[in-house]
Amino acid sequence: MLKRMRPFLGTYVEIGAHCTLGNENDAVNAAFKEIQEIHNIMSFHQVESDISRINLANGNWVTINKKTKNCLKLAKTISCASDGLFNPTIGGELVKYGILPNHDFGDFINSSDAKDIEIKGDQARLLRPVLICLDGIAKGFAVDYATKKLKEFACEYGWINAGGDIRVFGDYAFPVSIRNEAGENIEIGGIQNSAIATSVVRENHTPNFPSWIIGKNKRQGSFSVIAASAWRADALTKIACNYEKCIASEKIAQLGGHLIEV
Amino acid sequence: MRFNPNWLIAPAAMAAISPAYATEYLNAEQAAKSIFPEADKFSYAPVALSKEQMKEIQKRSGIMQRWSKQDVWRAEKNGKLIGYFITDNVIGKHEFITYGTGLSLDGHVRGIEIMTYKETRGDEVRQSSWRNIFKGKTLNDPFKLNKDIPNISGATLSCKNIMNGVKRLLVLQDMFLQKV
Repeated sequence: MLKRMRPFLGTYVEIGAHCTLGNENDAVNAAFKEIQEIHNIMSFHQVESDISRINLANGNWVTINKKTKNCLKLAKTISCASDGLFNPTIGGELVKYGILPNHDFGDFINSSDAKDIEIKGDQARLLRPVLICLDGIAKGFAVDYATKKLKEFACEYGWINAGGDIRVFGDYAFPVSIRNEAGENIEIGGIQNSAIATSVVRENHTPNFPSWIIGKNKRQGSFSVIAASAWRADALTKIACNYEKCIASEKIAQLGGHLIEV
Repeated sequence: MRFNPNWLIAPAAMAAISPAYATEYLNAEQAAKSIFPEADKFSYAPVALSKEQMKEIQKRSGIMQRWSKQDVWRAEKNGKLIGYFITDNVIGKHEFITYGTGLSLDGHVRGIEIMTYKETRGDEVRQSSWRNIFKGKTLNDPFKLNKDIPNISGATLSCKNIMNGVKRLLVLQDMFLQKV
């Protein structure tokens, strides 16, 4: 069993792996390399990332990495499936709040619809002057790619924990606690061959709790979703807080997740 | 898509007071080798700083230099200097992190490895004894930790502190270490 931690995706990413072949070091390094690549191509903060290049292209086509394309497609799909509750075009609003940096974007609107992101071949463009932000899905997406890498190295079991976006595979129950709104950790047991993500929605944005969810009818609380993949769990937490409590579990189940509110 | 998660439920226990947790990932030697796998020698060459120099680092990086001694190793290959490995500590709101970073001779970050990670209660942070843990820490004096971190979902910690730490170390390199 090997465990490593490196800072990526704006948080601390821990990778653990067990390989009877003894190649854990190579496997974990390769998994971190995947995360680093996704960090570099999908970061809103970095001007050279695929996302920033699309945001700065004034609606022109931009050639992007295949992984960026895949993530944009997933974002568009889950946005459509949730009637726009998951919205990857909210970068403008987050820039106006001062949560994301302004890379001299010029004029932009707060947000629109994921349909305004057009993908063709290995290119993408924006149909309206919005700013793409994949922060609601990219961490989970990176965790999935890193998991795939560990499996390619024939690791028997392992996990990736990117600041609370967790995926576990193999014959191993990974103990997980969920942090509630009050900051207490609540043990929920172990997860196995699945992913979990949590979003805590607070009344105000503070430097101690920098994450922020956009939504007109969002509820406060701690929203965790267990799903088969980390990207889905990650995205569904942003959707869950925008549903009324009485229907949230059912709606999340329809979208492929199991909602836990603590 | 329907998905039946394969997860186990254990009796839930709500802790009113969270205990302190810690994980040791790598010692300095292992972290140095991970960042500079091609190096065949690491020679210890700590940098001692005067109060004025500490102030100058803070002025140039915008980040406080808390220690008058910074642990630095010269990474060498076939007798030739290829970069620097520096260990450092970050004190966050709830976390204490010892990390190692590798800097290339032209001032680029080669890699960052977290060596130890400790998360603790907020009230412990205010006690100066915790901060003292970091004073005079050397390679030969790893601080012993006992418990693993629980895997907390929903506790996304910003790694801004560590990025600030690295920024400070790049200034320290620029001021005190041999360049290309």
